[in-house]
Amino acid sequence: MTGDERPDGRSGRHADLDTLADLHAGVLEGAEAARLREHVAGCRRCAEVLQALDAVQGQLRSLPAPAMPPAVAARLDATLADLRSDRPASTAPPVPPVPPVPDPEDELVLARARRGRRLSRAIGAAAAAVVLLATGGAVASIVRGGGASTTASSGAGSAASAPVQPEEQSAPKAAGGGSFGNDSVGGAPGVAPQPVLPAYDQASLRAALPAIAAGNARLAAGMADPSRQAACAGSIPGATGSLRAVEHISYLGRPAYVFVYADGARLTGHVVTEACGTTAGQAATVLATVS
Amino acid sequence: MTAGERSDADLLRAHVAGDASAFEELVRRHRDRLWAVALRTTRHREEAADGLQDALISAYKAAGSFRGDSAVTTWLHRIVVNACLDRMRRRQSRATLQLPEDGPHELADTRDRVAEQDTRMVVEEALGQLPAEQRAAIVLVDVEGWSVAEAAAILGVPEGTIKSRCARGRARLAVMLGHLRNPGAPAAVAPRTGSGPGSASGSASGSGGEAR
Repeated sequence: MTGDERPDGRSGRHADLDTLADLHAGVLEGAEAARLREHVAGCRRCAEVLQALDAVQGQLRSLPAPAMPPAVAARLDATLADLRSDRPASTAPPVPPVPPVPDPEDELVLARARRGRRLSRAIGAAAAAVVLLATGGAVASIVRGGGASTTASSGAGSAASAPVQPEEQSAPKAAGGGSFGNDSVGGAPGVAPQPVLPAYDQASLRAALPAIAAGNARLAAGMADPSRQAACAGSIPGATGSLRAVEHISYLGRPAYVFVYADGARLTGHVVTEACGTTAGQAATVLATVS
Repeated sequence: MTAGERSDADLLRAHVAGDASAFEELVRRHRDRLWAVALRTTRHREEAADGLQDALISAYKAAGSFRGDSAVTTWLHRIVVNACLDRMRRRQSRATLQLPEDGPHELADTRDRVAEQDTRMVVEEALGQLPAEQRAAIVLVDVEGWSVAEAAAILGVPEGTIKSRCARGRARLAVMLGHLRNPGAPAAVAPRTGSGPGSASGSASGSGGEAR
């Protein structure tokens, strides 16, 4: 903004509405704002515009919160109940209500690691099953079952539809007599926890893009360092916009990273192989582009 | 919070760890505010209900990716607002449809005095005339009372963009709600029509604030 139509020192000149609104909202800074304030102090017309903007804010503030209609509330309850019934009930021990948590971040990591170990066993068993069947279709279909249930969402909690972690559903059966309740979280020195990879197919990944993007961009789990992540990001053909988040996922049963870009208002997930960024100068292998 | 009541973050962690009821409790806590934001963002009851449902399924699934950098409520709002905006964009890309006219009426509070209700309806109506992204910023900051920083985190844009979207939106509302004494005055009220530098609402809201 160069401000040709601004008061620019000549205090007799009025500011336009948008400029005053910028001043009012704190968009303008420094000398420009100071100059304009000086003008407003001596100008009734411009002062009235600022008062009008205050009045608008007052009216907005006093708008009552609309109540959720009972039909909508009932529908949400049903959706949550579906999600809950799709989830295996017995895989996790009840969490104590208020564990002393020194660092929320740590605790989350632990929770994920805990689930990771649980999962890794299940995945191991599932992988064995796939080998027996000698077809990769099994894993893909499990994943797809999970994805479909998230978009349809109202289907009863039947068959292969565990929206959170499709593999998790097979955990109790697949791992046989293993009890998941006695994983000791912190007490396994030397055992590196396997990363938890949330499983997605195209539909479920598309549905999860806003949530992944909301997870705050940062070094993804599994990426050794920021430069590798940056190298990978730079090697994705066709990625435009600003990088919003990177997540280590399982895509159709394959370990991968998804780079979520926002281009204007549109979110796009670029799914690349796990090796992305490890070889300098090599373009990323894109498994899927979802938006 | 009473002793023994779990915090939002506790509930989300419990959900990630497999507690079957934690997510529902979390939603129960916040759903009225989430509904208000969804409804005002979309201005359409069905769209708001769909958007809220999309968002909650999405949050349920992706809870493990929440990293605790923001409050859980901010994170939930972010998912809801984005799901609603996303639904609106998809619909707009399918066809250029006007929003049904019944939007604002859904918001009317029938128990209140008629005059007061009329004023509110006028405000809701005016709010509905704003472009979606301006409205989302105004709803979060002015209606719901989030700080500029929080609104920026929710919408995933820089704080300067929130300020500038709020500025544009309030200016339009001031005109629509008749707060300006002499709307005919040459420079005082006429919203810039694209001649000024950085004037167009779209581009200005995208980069205006943070560019300096």
